Amino acid sequence: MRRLILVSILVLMFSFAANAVKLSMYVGDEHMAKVMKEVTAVYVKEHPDVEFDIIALPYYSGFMQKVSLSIMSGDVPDLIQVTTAYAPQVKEYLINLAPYIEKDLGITPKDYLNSILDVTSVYMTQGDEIKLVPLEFTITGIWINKKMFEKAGIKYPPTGGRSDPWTWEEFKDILAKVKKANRIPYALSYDYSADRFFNYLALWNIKVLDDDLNFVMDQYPDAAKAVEEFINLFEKNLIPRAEWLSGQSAQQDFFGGRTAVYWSGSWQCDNALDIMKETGKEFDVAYVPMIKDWFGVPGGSFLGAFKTGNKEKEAEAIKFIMWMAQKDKGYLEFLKDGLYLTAYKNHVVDYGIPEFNKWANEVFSKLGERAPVWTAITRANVIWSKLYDVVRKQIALGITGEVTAEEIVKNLRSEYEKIKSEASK
Amino acid sequence: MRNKKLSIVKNRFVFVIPGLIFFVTFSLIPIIAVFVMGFTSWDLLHPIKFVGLRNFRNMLHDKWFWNSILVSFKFMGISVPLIFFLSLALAIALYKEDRFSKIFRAFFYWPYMIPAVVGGTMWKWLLSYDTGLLNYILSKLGLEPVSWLEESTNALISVSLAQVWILSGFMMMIFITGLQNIPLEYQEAAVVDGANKWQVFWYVVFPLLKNTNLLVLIVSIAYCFRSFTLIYIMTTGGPGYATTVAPLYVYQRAFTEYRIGYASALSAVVLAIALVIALTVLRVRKSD
Repeated sequence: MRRLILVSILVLMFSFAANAVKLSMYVGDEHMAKVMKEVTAVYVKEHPDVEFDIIALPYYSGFMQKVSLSIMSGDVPDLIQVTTAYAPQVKEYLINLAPYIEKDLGITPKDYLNSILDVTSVYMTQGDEIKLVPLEFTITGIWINKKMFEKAGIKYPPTGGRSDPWTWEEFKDILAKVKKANRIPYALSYDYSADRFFNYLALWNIKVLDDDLNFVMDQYPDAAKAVEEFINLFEKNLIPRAEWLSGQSAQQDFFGGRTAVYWSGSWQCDNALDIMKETGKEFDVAYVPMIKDWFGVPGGSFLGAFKTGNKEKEAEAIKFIMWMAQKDKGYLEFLKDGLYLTAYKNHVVDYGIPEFNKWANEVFSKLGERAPVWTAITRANVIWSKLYDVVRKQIALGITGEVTAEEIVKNLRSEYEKIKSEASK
Repeated sequence: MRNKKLSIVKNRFVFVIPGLIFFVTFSLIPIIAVFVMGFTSWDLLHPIKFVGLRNFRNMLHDKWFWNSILVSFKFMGISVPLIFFLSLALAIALYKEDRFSKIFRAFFYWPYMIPAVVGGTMWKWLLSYDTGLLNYILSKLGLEPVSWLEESTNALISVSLAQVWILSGFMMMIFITGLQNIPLEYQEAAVVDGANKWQVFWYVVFPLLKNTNLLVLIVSIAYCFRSFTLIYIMTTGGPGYATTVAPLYVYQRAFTEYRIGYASALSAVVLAIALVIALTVLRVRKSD
């Protein structure tokens, strides 16, 4: 009898597992894959009839190629985590979540969007449809090496003895001072990234594209001056040329101690905490300098469900997304596991790590609050993603002295016209 | 008699079929597909659109494409002669079958065995301006560090030298095979007639290596013209477009900008240029 009961239990368990719906999910980096595995493990405890297969496709190594090929072949994953850079390209293949938000969350889609930071919600919609829910919110900011700044006797905003952001002239002076005081070869690390350059331009209140995606950079009288000022930072050996000319890692330069400042963002928090723990180095976050304005440029990633045609899987995928869309359920689990910033308004999270709480709630939140919506709108499109490499290359040519700042602006206009003409036909 | 001849032809054709199927499936059909795609506009996500000759017209005004062709020729112009003469010199030094030669042949052949990604990464680290071993040695010797990969000309020379490092060992083995097939009696006869070492090499050995020379040249040119991985890893085509060779430029148009149709048109032109180069080399051989 006992044997019969045992066998029945085993058969029931196996049949349960065999009946479990398996959802595949593409994510863009190993850290996100690790976090998603932890989060889905919590979900599976409440929903044992679902399994997850999480596949990490590195973002900067063919992510969009693989996703495009999946879409083209019809073999798409059930779920996808996608950043602001790629969201515009995949949205049309995703399920409209608006009806489920109303049904499962009990609020209208409009109220749901209003509960999210404006600079994030612009990426989530396509017309009246809501295609994505937010995962982490990211914002750019300045990382500093605390000990190097102490040695140079420099105060930094907002938590390092100064409340207001530096002006641009002050920032350049500070870079020179911290470099000299610490006898380091350079002062500032700056990722080889069009988005990072966009942040710098945005502080001059210079747009590359307007809200209608027309190229407008050449309409600003100080566009060339802004480009020249940026290139001068390399000429004065304040930024390592190798970071923009030969792929040297800006992250390694900063965390390795070759520079004292890193123009990066909130996504470095986890890394910074690890290095602080292992090496005893101390890092902190500061406001970006004020040129004509000061704010961080938003980014982040989102979760969506592909239209696969498999109704059972689509239903389960949507159920998971709705769980992730709730601030006090899946989303909170996700933020704490990954040390990510929240994309929801008026959502204060206690991460349990004092340093991270300070960075998130005192610095990055302020930089995010000040970010104008146009910084999101003008990048949430295919044209910006096609201009991305062109922008980087033109700046690199400027750094080598092969083109002037004026020529860079002109060349960007010319490349934009080519991209637009192809896109419109 | 006629039936016997037909039967021989049929039997020979049977042996060619597998190779023919492979060639048609993996070479001919993709080439035709690329050529056809050159008349379309496609971003992988939306339906393919026929655009006629637009891609080819745009290509004529694409200065960075023509720059990439020029960079490819410069890259070949630096790499191929160095590969040829270095591998020939190594082959002459190591073609005898003694233990010393065998050990050193393996040593020089090793770079060809390692994956291009590994080799490229290694060279990138060695040549890094701030953290590279080469600049560290220079600084210890009291010399100024060199921008190996950050200056346009230096970057092109650096990737060319890395290519020479990878390919010379393989070409050395081809030359060794050629040298070992030259009967020793010819060289001995020349020595008996009073020729010195250089004269033996130049008047006896080198002419007899004609076919091997041509093979090394053709393989080196083909390899360098389609070189992609090493340059992608070392410089990603930078600084700016200084080391953006044609295959890399095509790749970036296809998989960074998702302009598959345009990239296909560029590929067709690159293929045509490669064909012209190959025919030129063969014509030079024929005229010899």
